[in-house]
Amino acid sequence: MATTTTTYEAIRGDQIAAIHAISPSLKSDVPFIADLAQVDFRAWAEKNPAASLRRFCVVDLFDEDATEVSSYDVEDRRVRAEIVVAYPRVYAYGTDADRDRRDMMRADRIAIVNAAGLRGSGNIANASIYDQRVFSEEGDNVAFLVLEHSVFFWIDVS
Amino acid sequence: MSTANPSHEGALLYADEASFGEVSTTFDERLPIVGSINDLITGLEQTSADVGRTAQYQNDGHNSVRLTQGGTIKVKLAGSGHGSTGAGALSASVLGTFLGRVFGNQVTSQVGGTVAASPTDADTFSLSSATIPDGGIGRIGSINDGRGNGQFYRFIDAATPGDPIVANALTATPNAGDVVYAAELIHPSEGPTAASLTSMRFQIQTANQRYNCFGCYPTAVRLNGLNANEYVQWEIDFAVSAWAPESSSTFPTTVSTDTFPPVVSAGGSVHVQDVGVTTLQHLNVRDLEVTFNLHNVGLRGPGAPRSYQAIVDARRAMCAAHVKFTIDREAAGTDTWGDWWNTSSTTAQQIMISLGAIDGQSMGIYLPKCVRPPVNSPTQQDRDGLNTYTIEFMAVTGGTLTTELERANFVIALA
Repeated sequence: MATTTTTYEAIRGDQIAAIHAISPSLKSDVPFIADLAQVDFRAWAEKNPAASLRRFCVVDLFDEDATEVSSYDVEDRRVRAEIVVAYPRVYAYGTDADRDRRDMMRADRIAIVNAAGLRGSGNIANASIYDQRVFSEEGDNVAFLVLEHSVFFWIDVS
Repeated sequence: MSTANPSHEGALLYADEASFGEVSTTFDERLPIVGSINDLITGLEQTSADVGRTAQYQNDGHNSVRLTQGGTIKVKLAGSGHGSTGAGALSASVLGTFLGRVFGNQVTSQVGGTVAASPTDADTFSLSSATIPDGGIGRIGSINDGRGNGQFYRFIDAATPGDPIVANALTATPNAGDVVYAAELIHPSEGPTAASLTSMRFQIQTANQRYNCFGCYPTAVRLNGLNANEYVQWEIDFAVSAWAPESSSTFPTTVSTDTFPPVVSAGGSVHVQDVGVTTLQHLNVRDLEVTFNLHNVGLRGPGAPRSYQAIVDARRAMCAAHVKFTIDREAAGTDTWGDWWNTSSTTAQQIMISLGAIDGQSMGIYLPKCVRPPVNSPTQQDRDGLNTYTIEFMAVTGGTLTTELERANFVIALA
């Protein structure tokens, strides 16, 4: 009964690829684009709201429970992480303005959860997503859709 | 002027009794107990009862009558390994000697050595300079060497190495020269008439009062700290038949003890496989529990050497063991242990638990034959948001009945 191991880096890569592949139901002409360059994604989006729509990042929160299984070759890992997607307040979402932004965030939330969240474990090799919490952070210029979640996987420690 | 001294100062001494409740106040062993020494003292009991004599005045009364003594002391110990290298001959450790009294038997005759030249495969090889009896347990190699990995192995035919030599195969064929670490072994007796029990006396020392406890015998054992990020701890209850304060002993005592580091539960493994099959099968378990149901019976009767002592002997009746753990759920359609449970005659399993892989700071538990206990079929449960299931096994008398070591329902190895 061998245990298949992976790394958080590989899991994050699978999550990013799965979100890239989403065809949004609303505003389908604006794709999800991973932001890989910014140290502080939220601060960058606040300064550059016009460029931030559907930009997202996947961040390791470095909030880990103690390992529960440690064999000589593998250990379990439960990594807390978040997916953060930006929605600028100034963007013309539709005739209903800010209410349309919220509708778009709700629709995207379902797509992201299906792709890389609780229901997206099938897109992520050798890992399980669980203990998910979705909420919105209202910044001055940008609103953020935040999907906080835990990732369970086995890591090779040999 | 107060005479109260600090309550954290104390020591626990013990000795074997030549006869149950022996009248003697010599103590030759000291246990490195953890926790408050006063917790032991508060377990000593001697009650008194109102006799109910009739009085002639409204508030007149009489002394109660003192009844017999008894009580329970809970001995808590950090679960160390052997404390020194198992690469050669062993000497008895304090913990090993004490656990031998608790469970019945201690073996220190194993001698570590190496894997001899030209090993055949992962379960067939010879030993060099080692003395391991059939049924013995030792560790082989070092962590992450890709062969023995420093885990515990059960030797089934070490004296005249056959095919196989171990009940649980290594990860790969060992190299000649890989170290075989001997372990101090503790196990119960299986013989139907092996019911005798060596009683013990304890001396509980504090910086104020000291108490001698006589006719003590173990009644319960709890083993904790088997999961990752924990360290091993023992808690053993002893029934006390008689006790008395004393003041002639020396405190601090000069009786030596061990203070070895406890076994840290990491870098180990749990091997579960059909009895008779050597193929390695490690399960990534959590919430691992090993429970021992120690059933020793105190016998009341006349003839005690003290006025308030009612228990005059104790006998061993059984020492059952159960193993329980939780593992991740398999994909739909695969139900390894549900299928195992749901068979009229399940295939008995052997379990080897390795806790740590540090020379002198490791502990293993081998259960040679585990069957389905009277519990519900394992299904599925939520555990921290993930699908898991829990399996339980009951350890019974080993299939090979030749020696006590081979037939014991479990063997604890300190290495």
